[in-house]
Amino acid sequence: MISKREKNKYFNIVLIVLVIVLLVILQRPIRSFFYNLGDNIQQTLWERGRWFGSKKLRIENQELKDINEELLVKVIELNELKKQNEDFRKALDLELNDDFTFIEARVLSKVNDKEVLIINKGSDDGVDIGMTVIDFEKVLIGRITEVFNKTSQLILITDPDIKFGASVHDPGIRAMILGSKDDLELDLVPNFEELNIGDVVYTSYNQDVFPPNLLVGKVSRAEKSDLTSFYEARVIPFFDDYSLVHVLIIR
Amino acid sequence: MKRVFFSLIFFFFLILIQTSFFVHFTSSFNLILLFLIIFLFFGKGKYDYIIGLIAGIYLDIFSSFFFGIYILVCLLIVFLIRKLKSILDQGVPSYLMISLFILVLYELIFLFLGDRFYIMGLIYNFLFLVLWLGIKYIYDFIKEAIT
Repeated sequence: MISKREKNKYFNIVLIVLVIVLLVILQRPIRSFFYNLGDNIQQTLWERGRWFGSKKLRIENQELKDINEELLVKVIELNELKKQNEDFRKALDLELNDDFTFIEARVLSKVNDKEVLIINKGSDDGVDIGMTVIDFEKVLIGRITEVFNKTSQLILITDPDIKFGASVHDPGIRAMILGSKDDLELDLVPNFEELNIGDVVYTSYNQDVFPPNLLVGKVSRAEKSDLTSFYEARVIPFFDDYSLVHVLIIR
Repeated sequence: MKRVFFSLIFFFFLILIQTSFFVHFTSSFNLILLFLIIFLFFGKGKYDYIIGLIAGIYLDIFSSFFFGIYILVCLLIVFLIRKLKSILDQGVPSYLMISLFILVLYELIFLFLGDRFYIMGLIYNFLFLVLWLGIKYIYDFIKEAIT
């Protein structure tokens, strides 16, 4: 005879299994619901966290403290540079608007285990799986992988699952970019080519993952290998995922 | 039942803070896991599996793994903590040992599933629990001394 306690135990196990199965089946509406529910709070938290925690901002802050005295002397020179920079950005924006049409979105959060961000635009706004995401300076950020009604998931180019064709010294060396969490691996650059630290990497024409000519990053390491006929090279992406607030989705 | 409703709301805010705020400092700090462990240490034990289920659901919602992985991991954690609590003494040293075991196991599971092992995450998470248990120990000690 099965005791009442054991019956309850089996009943609870069956109930939990049923709940899990139900959750797995209904995962998309559940995810969508909770992303929408936390939308406003997440926007605020993301901006506060970015302000407090961004490595880039902390480094910039430290540098600014160090060169404070120098800045006082160079303030006029910097104002001129700032004006030039603004003009340059305007020019870039014009070029950007001529090339593509966009959906503007805000970053809400980053998932626990991968290089994936959640943004506040979804299928209701015309977002679709596979769309490319860039920032306002034409820097490649990633690709849409999951779309809900009002939110989407965007995989960053630094995710190890991402790889795409790139070119260095536009339109010179062709290579392959592989995501590597904190930076990118630049693969398939033959040893006989000239690759230097600081070279700018773009998306290439000979691939169908991303549109061509988007900025990717700068070469941070370029060593010729004796073992293979290719360089061992790394690229630092131009974007910092933690300081992103607004992104552009290319339609 | 109050504990379940409290966890439902509390864990929701924790996951928002974890994925939108703490992610800027370290991506491996897992508030949900830490508070699940704390709840299991100091709770009455009646609704442990339901609380584990809630924690797992929130982690799954804000994850890119196959939905259900975190639910199973959290239920496994509930099962192990309940078993270990019944075997070992109830006290801070035992809780620290159990915490370390659970955190290492958690990282090993995700090393197997996602090919990642966050050693700094393990250290931060363990230090958080050491701090929490230390405060709780001092609080209990003072409370006992007063009464």
